[in-house]
Amino acid sequence: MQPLPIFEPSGVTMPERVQPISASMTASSIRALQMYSFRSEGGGPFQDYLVAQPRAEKVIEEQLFDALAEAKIWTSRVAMHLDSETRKRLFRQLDVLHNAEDWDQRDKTVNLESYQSLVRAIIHHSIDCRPSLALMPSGNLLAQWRDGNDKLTVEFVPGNRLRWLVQSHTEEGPERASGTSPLERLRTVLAPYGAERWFDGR
Amino acid sequence: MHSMSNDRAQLYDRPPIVEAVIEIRFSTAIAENRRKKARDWLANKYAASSIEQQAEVKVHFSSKSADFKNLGPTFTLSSSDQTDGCAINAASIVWVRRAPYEGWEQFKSRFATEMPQALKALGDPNVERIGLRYVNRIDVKIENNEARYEDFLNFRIEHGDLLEPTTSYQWYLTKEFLDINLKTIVQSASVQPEIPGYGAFSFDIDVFCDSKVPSKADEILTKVEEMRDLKNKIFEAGITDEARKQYS
Repeated sequence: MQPLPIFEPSGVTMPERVQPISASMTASSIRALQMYSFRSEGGGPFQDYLVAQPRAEKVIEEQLFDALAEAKIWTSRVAMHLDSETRKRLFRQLDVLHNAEDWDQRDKTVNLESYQSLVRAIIHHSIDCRPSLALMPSGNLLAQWRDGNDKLTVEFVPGNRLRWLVQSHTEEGPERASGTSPLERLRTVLAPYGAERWFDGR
Repeated sequence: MHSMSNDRAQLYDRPPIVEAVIEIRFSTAIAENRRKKARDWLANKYAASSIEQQAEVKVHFSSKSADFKNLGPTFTLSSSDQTDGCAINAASIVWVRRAPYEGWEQFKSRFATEMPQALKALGDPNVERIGLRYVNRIDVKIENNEARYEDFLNFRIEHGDLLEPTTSYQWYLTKEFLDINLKTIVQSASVQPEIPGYGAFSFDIDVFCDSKVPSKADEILTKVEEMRDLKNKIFEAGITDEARKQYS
């Protein structure tokens, strides 16, 4: 048995692709994909790292490609929990949001941790309804679900947190509610506004 | 047992494979113009192509200095969704399939189509090692504050009650199968969870051949099939029926 604390939101995320967890693991086939190899004085394996070329040296197209690749490769870790259509739609949306022709040099590419929060929310809350996505200047993803004229907007913040805004129409007039919550509590905090109408059923 | 394990392996709807890799490693470094030629031949089969400089750093701890040796570029090709990839560097050529894994037939078919031409473009080099690696990720639901990985993995460290419950583990083993001229590195560890409410464990199987290594394309294909059979046997022996239920 292995006790584990319940999932703790953390700002630290493992680098992408399944990485060797120790130097000894680098003796396997995957080593060839690593770009930089560090060796100890004796020539034996010391430790291998993936070292990214600094962003500043890359042209826009390369930055966009890297950001998309990073998100898509991370998705392979959780792909078995995502249905194929959801995964494909997410990738299509990411591609559209990072279209080089519409890209402003001041824009930031998607923040991987924000994307991870979105995907984790979809898996954890079994969200069937697929939202429209937008990219904020910070690189955070903004997801929006609609139910008639009512809207739920969620900003996925690094560290498995989210900011949400419900805009609905009642007989007494328009109503707005907003909050900041841990990812795991999304359905609970939205329950008074009918979480199921946003998330359940395509 | 042999064929049963292979058949069973193909039945999984949601295999826990995160990454599958076939690597062909060469005994001498491949010249850059040869690597470019292989990349050019493969380029129209992939959506994206990139070049990364590869380097080896030798660290001298006593003098607090380091030697930086440029190993030339690694040519990387990938599909637009990053599931299929191929990387060519001076020492090896590698084919990768990331999750969602669509099955051996698809992965083998790509490899069988691309490998002979790639080797030809590389100058039919002498092959030093062939490797087939499958990295599986076992996500285990946390219940009563525990992730019972033993319900999913048959291979584990038996350490008795004293160290129960553990907070993390890692093991690594190697074995040589003399009768079929294959070696394996099998390892498992607790890894960073990705899904809220789940613990995560790797189950990583690397089967390779580094003696009497074939260099001809058809013989390489046969050898890779043998490796895949052994990989499946190890996988099936390593997981429980509970795990099979989850992946089917």
